[in-house]
Amino acid sequence: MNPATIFGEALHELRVALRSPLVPLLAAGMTGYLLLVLSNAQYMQEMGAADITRNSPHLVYLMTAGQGFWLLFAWAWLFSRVISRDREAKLDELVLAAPVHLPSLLLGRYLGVVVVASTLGLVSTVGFVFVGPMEAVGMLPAGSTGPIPLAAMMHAWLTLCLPSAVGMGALYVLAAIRTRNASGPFGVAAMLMLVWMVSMVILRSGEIDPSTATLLDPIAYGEVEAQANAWTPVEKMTGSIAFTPELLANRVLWCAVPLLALLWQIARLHRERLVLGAATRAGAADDHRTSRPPSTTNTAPVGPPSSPWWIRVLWAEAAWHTGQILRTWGLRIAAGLLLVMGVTGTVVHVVAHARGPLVPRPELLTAVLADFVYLVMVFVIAGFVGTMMRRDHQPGFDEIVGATPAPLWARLGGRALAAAALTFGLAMIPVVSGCIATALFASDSVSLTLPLTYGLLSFAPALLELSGVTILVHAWIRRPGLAHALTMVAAFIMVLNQELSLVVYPPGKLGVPAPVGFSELVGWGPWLPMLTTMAALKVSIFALAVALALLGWPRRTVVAGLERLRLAWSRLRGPAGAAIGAATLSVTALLFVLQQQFIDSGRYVEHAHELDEDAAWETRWLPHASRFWLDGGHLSVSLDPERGTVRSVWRIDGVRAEPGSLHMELPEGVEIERATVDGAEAQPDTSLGHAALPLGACADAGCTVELQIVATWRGWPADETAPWVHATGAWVRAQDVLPRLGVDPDRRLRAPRDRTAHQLPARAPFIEPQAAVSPIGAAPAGTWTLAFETPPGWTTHSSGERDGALDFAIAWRTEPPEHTTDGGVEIWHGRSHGATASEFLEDLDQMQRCLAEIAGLGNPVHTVLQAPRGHDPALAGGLLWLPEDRGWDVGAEGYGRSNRRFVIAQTIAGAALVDEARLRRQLGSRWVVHGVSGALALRCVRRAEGEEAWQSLMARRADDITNALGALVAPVEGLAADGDAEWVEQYAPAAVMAWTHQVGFDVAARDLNAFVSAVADGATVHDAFERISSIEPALTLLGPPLASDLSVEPESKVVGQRWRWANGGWTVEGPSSRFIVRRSGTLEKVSSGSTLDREAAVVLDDWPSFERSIDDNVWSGQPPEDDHE
Amino acid sequence: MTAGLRVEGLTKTYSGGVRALAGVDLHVPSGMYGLLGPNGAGKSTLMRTLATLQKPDAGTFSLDGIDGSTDPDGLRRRLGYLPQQIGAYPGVTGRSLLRRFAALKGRTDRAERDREADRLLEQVNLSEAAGRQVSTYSGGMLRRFGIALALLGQPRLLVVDEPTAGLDPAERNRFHRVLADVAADAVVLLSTHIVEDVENLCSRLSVMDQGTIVAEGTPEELRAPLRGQLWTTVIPRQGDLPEDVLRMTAAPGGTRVVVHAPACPDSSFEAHAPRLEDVYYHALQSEQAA
Repeated sequence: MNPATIFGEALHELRVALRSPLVPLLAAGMTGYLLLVLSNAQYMQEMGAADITRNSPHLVYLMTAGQGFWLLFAWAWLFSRVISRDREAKLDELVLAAPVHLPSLLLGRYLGVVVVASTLGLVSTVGFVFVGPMEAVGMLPAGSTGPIPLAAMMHAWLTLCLPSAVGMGALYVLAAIRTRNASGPFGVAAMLMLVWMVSMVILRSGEIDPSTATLLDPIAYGEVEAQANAWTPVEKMTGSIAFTPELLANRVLWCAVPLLALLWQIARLHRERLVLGAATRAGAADDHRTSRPPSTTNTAPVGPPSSPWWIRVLWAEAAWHTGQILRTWGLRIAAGLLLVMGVTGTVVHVVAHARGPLVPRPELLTAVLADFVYLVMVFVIAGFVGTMMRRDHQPGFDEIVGATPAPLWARLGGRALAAAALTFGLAMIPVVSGCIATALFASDSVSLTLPLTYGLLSFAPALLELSGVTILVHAWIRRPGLAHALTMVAAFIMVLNQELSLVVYPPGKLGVPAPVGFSELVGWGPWLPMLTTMAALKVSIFALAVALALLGWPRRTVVAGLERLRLAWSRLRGPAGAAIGAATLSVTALLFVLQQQFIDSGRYVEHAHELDEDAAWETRWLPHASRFWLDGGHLSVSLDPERGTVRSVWRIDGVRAEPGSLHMELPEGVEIERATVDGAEAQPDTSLGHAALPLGACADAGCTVELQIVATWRGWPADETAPWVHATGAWVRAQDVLPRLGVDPDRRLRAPRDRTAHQLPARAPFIEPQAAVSPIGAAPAGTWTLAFETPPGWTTHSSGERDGALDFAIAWRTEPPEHTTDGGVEIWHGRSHGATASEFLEDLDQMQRCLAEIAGLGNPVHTVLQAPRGHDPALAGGLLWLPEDRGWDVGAEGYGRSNRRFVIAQTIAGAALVDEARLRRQLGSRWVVHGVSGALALRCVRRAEGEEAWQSLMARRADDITNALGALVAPVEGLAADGDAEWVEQYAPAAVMAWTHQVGFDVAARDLNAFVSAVADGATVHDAFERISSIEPALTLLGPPLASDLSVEPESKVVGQRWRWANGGWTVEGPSSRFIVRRSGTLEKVSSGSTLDREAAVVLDDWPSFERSIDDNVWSGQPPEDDHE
Repeated sequence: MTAGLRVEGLTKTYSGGVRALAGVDLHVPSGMYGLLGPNGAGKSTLMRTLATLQKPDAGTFSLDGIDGSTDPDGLRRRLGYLPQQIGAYPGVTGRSLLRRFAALKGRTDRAERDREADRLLEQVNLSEAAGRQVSTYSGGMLRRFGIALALLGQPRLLVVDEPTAGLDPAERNRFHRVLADVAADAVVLLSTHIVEDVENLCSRLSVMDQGTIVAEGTPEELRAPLRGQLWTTVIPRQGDLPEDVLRMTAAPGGTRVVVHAPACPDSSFEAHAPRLEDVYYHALQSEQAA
C-alpha cells in the first residue's frame, strides 16, 4: 500500500464530493426533515416522545438509526462514484494505465467517501443543535428542549452511522467493481432494504426471533427502537443505547465483514477487471461473422411515414417500456419476492401471529398485506420508474430520440402509462398473495372482489402518486444520481408518513393509501364514495405531475437555467399547458369535494384544533359543572338511514342538579332540536360540543326533562372508523347519537405542556364525581325504557328495559346477516364467520358461567353482534357488541382465543360493575371499569384454559404496559388521575389481580362487593377504598404503577425486586419481602428466602403490582397436574 | 420552394460566451456534402442545430422549404441524425430498439415498422445480430446500428457527425457505401475530421472555422486555385522549417512540408499537386490571416 496515494485519493474524493451539489442538498434536506419532524407534536407522540424534550437522547438515537433507510440509497450513489466517475469521464483507461498502486488508489477513494458518507449522517444529527433556537423563536413549545445531547449524538454517530458507512460503503464498492456503474450499488441498496424488511417485519414484528432480527438488520434500527421504546421517560432523557451482544454481532457482521471482503477484493483486483467492457466480456467482438459486404436486399423501401397518428406512438411507447420493464430480471425477482413475502408474511403475521393465530380472511388480510409490502413497494417503484425515465440517457441515443418527430406528450405519455401499468401491476401483488394465503388457510373465505377493490381504489392510486413524483423529478433534474436520490427521499418520506402520520388529513397524505376499515357486515357501501374520490384525486395528482414533467422534459441537448424556464414557459401554451390546466382543475375540484366531505360536513379535526377546543371547553364550562342525579326515563329512537339521521325523543325523569343546570356533552353531529323542562320550553346554552340546560325551580325537587335530538352522520370517514349510519346499514350506539349527561373529565388537557400553551392552570381542575358522565352509554344509572323504530329490513338491538346506565346498541341492515343460535343466545355474523360463531358461543358460555360463579353475575347476554372494526366492545341491554377486530379474526386456539375470552368476560363484568356501582367517570372509576373487570376476566380465562393460557395473557399484558409507559402523552400521575391514558387500561387488570392474590379470592370478592355498594351509595372511589379494610391505601392502588420481577432460581429459591413509577421512570422500591405461591387454585404466602418444595407452582409478588416477566415465575417441580382452580 | 438544405445567417453563442456559430450560410443540394473543420470550429453545434436539438440565436435553416425554426417537427419527419457517439443501450435487442425508434419517427403501422426495421438491419449487415442486446455490440456494429437508426423513416436529410471515427478500414468502407446509397435520394451532411473521407465521398464540401464557413465548393473547384502554387520538400531533422508552411507531415529522414507560393521557393522543392487536405489548411490559414 502507498500511504501517499491513499491520502491523496481520499482528499481528492472528499473535495469532489463537497463540490457536488448532492451532498449539501441531501444534508440540508435531512436536517430540514429532522426539524420538521421535531416540530410536529403528533409525530412526537407517535414516537413515544410526547412528554420528553425534543432533543432527548431517545430521539437522537431513533433519528440517527432511522435516517439509515435513505442513507442506504444516498450512500449507494456516493460510493458508486469510486469506480464510475473515471469511466463516465472516459478517463478510466488513462487512470488505470498510470503507474499508480491500484489497491491504494481504490482504498484511498473508498476512505474519502467514508468520510463524506459518515459526515452526511452526522449533519442531520447535528440538526438537534438547532432545536434550542427553534424554541427561542417559538417554533417549538416553551420548555420542550433540553441541553444539547452531545454525548448521545457522538455515541449514536460512532455506534450507528460510522460503522454503517464503513460496511455499506464496502459492499457498494464491491458491487461497483462488478458492474462499474451505479446499478450494482443501487441493487445492493435494494437488497439491503429487503433484508432489513425481513428482519424487521418478519422476525421482529412477528416476534419470531428478536436476536436474529437484530443481527440481520443492516442499520440496527430495530435494536435501537426496541431498546429506546422500552425506556422510561427519565431513561429517554438520559439513556444511551446498550451495546448488547446482539448489537455487537450486528456491527461486526455489517461493518467488519464487508470491510474485510473489500480489502481482500481490492488486494487481488487486476486492472483488466475494471477496463473490459460488457461487450468484450460477453464475447461481442466476434463482429467478423457480420462483416460480409452490405446486402443488396430486394426488400422494397417502405417509404417515408405519412401523417403519423401520434396517439398510436404513445401506445407503442407505453407497450415498449412496459415490455422492457417486464423483461427486467430485477423486476421479476422483486415481484416474486414480494409475492412470497406476502404469503410468508401472512403465515408470520396472521396465521402464526404471536397474538393469534388469526384467520387470513380477506377483510383482515388485504390491508395488512398492503401495509406489509408497502415499504419495499415504494422503493421498487421509485427505482424502476426512475430507471425507465433514464432509459434513453445513453450516449447518442438521447440525441437521436430528441431528433425524432414524435411529440413530447407521446413520448412522456407512453412512459407515464408504462409507469401506471407497473404501479397497478405491483399493487396487485398483495391482492394475489392475499388470495393465495386465504385459499391455503381459510379456503371458505376466498374472495377476489374485496382485495381487488382495495388494490384498485386505495393501494394502487397511492403508489401512483409516487410514480408521478418520480416522473416529475427525473424530468426536471438532469443529474441522474441527484434525481434518484431525491425520489428515494420522497419514497422515504411517504413511508414515514404512512407509518407515523406526519400528515393526518387524508388528501394531504401523498403516496399513502386512503383510510379504510373494512368490516364484513358493513361492506364497501360507506367507503366507496370516499375511496373513488380519493382515487380520482390521486390519479389527478399523477396526471398533474406528468403534465408538469412535460414542461421540463428535455428535447434539446443544451438547455439549462433560464433557457430551460423559458422553454417550459413556451410549452405552457401547448399540450402541456392544457394538461396542467385540466389536471389542476381536476385536483382542485376533488380537493374541494373532499374538504366538503371531510371537514365541512365530516368529522375531520386537526389535533391542534381539538386541543384548542378542549381548552376552551375547560375554561367555559368546568367552573359551572353541576352535580346531578336522575331516576331514569324513556328513550325512543328512530332510524332514518336514507337521510343518515337518528332522531330520538328522550324523557328523563327526576332530574336534580346543583346548581340548577343539566350539563351534557354533545358528540359530533348531535343537536338538541327542542328541550322542555316540566313541559315548559327551555333553551340549552350550547357551545364547544357542550350544552347546559337550565332546570329552573324544579332543580332541587326533580324535573322531567324532554329532549328532541337529531344525530346526523354527514360527510365521509377520515379515518378507519365506518360511519354509524349509511344507506344500507346502521351500527348505532348510545354515545354516538345522544348527548352524554354530565361533564367528561377526559376532555381536560392532561399534558402540562398543552395546559401551559393554552394558559390553563398547571393542574387540571377537580370534577365532582356526581357531575361527571357515565363511563358507558349516555346517562348514569337509572330505570330506563327504550323503544326503537327502524325502516324495513333486519334489525337487532338492546332490550327495551334497563336498570343501570343508559346504554343501547342497534344494528340495521337491508339484508339480514348469517346467524347462529345456541342455548338461547343468538349470534349475528358474516358469511365467513360461521365456524367462529360456534366457538364464540362456547367462549361466551364459559365466561358467563365463570362470572356467575366467582362474581355472582347472571347470564346477561342474549345477542352477540359482529360489529364494525375500530369500535370498543360493549354490552348494552343484553346485546354484546363485539367488533370484528376484537375477537372475530382469531383462530380456534392459542393466545388469540384466550384474549377473546378475556375481552368477553371483561366487557360483561365491566358493564355489570358500572350498573351495580352506579358509577360515574370519576377519579378511580377505571380501577373498577378496567381493573376489577379485567382481573375477573383473567381469572376466568385461567379457569377455562389453564395456567399456560393465563401466563400467555400476563406476558403480553406486561409487554403492553411497558410499551404504554414508553409512549406517554402526559407524565404519569396515577391510575386514578390519568383518566383514559393507555397505560391505565393495560395496567389496571394486572394490578387488581395482584391485589386479589394478595388478600385472597374470597376476601377480595367480599370487599369488592362492599366497595361497589359504597360507591353505589354515593361514596367516591377514594372514600370507598378507605372503608374497606383489606384494600391497600388508595395511594398504592390508585397511584402510579407498581412493578415486580420475581424469578425462581434453579435451587428453587425465589428472589424478586420491586419498582414504583416516580418522576418519569421506575425507581427501585427494594427486594420483594413476601411472595405468594399459587398451586391448583390455592394461594400460600411465604417469606423472602424460602425455597419451594417439589410441587409445581407459580410464584407471585405479595404486592399489587404487575409482573414484568412471568416466564421465570414458574416452578416446574414435578410434572404439572391439572392446575385449574 | 428551394430544394435541399438552406442555411442562412445561423448564429449561436453559448451561455459561457463561446460563439460557436457566427453567421453560417450554406446551400446543400441532394447528394453527399462534407463539412470539414478543426476541433471547436462549430461543426457539432451546426449539426445539432440542424438536427433541431439546439435553437439558434439567429438565422434560419430549411429543408426543401420546411423551416426548421418554425416547423421543427416538419423537419424532424424528414431527418435522420447520427451523433458523434453511440453508447451501448442496455437490456434491449437491436431489433426491438430499431422498431421502437421507427415508431418515434412516425411509423405507426406495426407491419410497416417491422418491415422497415428488418430491411435496415439487413442493409447494415446486422440481421444476424438483430436478436442480440445492443449493449453487446462492438464499436463497428454500434456505428452500423446507428446508421440504421438514422435511416429510419427514409429521411430526406441525413446528418452524420464524425461517423467513422474509430472504425477499421473495412468497416469504414462499408459505412461509406451505405452513405453513398442513401445520398442518391437525399441530402447527406457529413461532418468529419478525416479529409480523405470527404474527398472520396462528397461532391461538395465546406470548411468551417471559428463558427463560419471559410471555403465552399466542389473538391475540384477548391483545388483549382492552388494548382501550380504548392511546393513540397523534406526538411532534414534539426533543419530550419520555412516560415510559410501550409502543412507538415512526418517523413523518413525528416519532415515533409508543403508551402504555398506563386513560384518554387528553391531547388530543393518540387511541385505538389493540390489535394483536399491542402485546401483545408489553406482555407484555415487564409481565415486566420484575415
